[in-house]
Amino acid sequence: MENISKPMSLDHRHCDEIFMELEQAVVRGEWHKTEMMAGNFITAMTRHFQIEEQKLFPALEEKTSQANGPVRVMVMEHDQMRHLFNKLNDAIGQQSKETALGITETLLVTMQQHNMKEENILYPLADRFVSNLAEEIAQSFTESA
Amino acid sequence: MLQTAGLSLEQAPPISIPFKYFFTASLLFIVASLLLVMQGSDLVTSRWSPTAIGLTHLITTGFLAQVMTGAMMQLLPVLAGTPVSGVVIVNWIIHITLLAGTVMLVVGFLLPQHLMLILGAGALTTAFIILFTSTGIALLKSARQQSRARSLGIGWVSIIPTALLGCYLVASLSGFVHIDNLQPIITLHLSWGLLGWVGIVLFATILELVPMFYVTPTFSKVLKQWLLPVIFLCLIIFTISRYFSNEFLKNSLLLIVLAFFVIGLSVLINIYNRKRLIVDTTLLYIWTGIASLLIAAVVWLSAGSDLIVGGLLLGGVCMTIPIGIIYKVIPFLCWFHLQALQIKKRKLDYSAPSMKHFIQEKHAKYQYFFHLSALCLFFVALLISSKLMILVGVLFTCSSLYLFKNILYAYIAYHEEQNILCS
Repeated sequence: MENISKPMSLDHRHCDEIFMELEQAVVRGEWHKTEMMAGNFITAMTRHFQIEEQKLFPALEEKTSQANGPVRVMVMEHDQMRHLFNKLNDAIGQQSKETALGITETLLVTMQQHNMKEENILYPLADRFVSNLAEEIAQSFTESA
Repeated sequence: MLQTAGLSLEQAPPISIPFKYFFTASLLFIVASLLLVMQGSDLVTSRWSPTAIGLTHLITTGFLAQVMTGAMMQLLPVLAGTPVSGVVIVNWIIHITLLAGTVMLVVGFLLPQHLMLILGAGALTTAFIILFTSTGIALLKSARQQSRARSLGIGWVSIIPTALLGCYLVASLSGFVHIDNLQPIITLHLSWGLLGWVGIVLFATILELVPMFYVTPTFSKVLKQWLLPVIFLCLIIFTISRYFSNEFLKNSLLLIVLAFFVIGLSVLINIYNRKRLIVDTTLLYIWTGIASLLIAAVVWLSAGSDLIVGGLLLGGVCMTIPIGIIYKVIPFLCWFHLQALQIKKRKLDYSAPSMKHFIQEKHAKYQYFFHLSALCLFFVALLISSKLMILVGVLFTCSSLYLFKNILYAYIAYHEEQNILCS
């Protein structure tokens, strides 16, 4: 039977892969490649956020009694990452290696601790309580691939 | 309705709490280094000298306990989704009793002074009981994550036999109880402390943090969830073997050393296979710590010097890996708390500096240079001349002062940004 954890966690790994290529391009000063990889990375992350914010989180929130619960914290962290995407694009535009690497470092730790909380806590809860969404979520990834 | 009571994914606790633990840890590191400058040559003459015992406690119940408690308070909400209840007051008590207990115990050993030893042991036991109870309650509240946090939990369970055996030894030194032969009790106290508490807590943390910080493949389930509990079980068997003087069961100690060797090697292999190729200074601290563990295991297995094994474990592992953790955790917490404050204050025009602003890479590297030089010279001093211990102490003092300065810089930089946000 399909679950929610697996495709969502796999998509985290997919975003990580693109991020690593992006950061390596910054280290090497390959600005054309950096720009391309940043575009790919932000597209992949935005798709992931959309699936969570439009499908998974509303369903989970409906099942929880707390308005300011874990879901709200995750959405807040998405906004923090979106803010970092903008700053990264600015740094890439200015071809400032030091600034860009400072932002990728910050983005990486923010992303990893966020993913850990989702994979450890939120997705297993989703598997238990909104498992009916599993097929729809798997389909969303297939459609946008 | 889904029960999420007690589930919080917020980055608890307040930033002042980890700063308090990390500052204190760096101060105790300075004290330990100065002790090495003044009385370091005693280490070579006897491993049971007051200096050796005092230094061991400054490093373990002092430096390491402060760092690991600070780090665990951050890790619990991420791992189990449950922060410690009454986090500010509980941490205030734990911090004070840990610090006071360590200082009194070390002074008690150095003078020697029985009253100080008793007060120190009492304060430390109180700190560990509060720490153990508060984190235990948080883990029990966790909806489903007990298995992930199991290793961390049993590491902290190991502090209880360590503390009780320590109290028993202090009672004997102070003349309250009579023990014919202290050696087996000391061996058990050391085994539960270094292999149980330090080893399990440190490596349970490393196994969680390494994949997260360096984007390595995740560790196998056997390694993450079972190997550390097996070490705990072997420690129980080893304790029983001492009681019944059973030679066969004493081999459990060999199993423990082999298990740590496997874990250390797996961490190194995992880091080698990491996806993120950048080598930052925190990685150098982790590499040095793991290499020290592996060398210590080989020296122990080949029946080498206890002093070298002790030096590798205390200096190479206990005083090195936590610095790498501090340099990863502090910049992230500064950035994260500023972001949260920005949202709270609705200051949309504010832009928080990146993590690299709070701990600058070159300063972390300078400290690493002093730290590694001190470690290498320590072993040269053990082999060649005890007089070199003064220089080892000087180099460790430079390393510890650099650590304090780097934490202070991050603290000031955080408050400057906070003032901008609140103005």
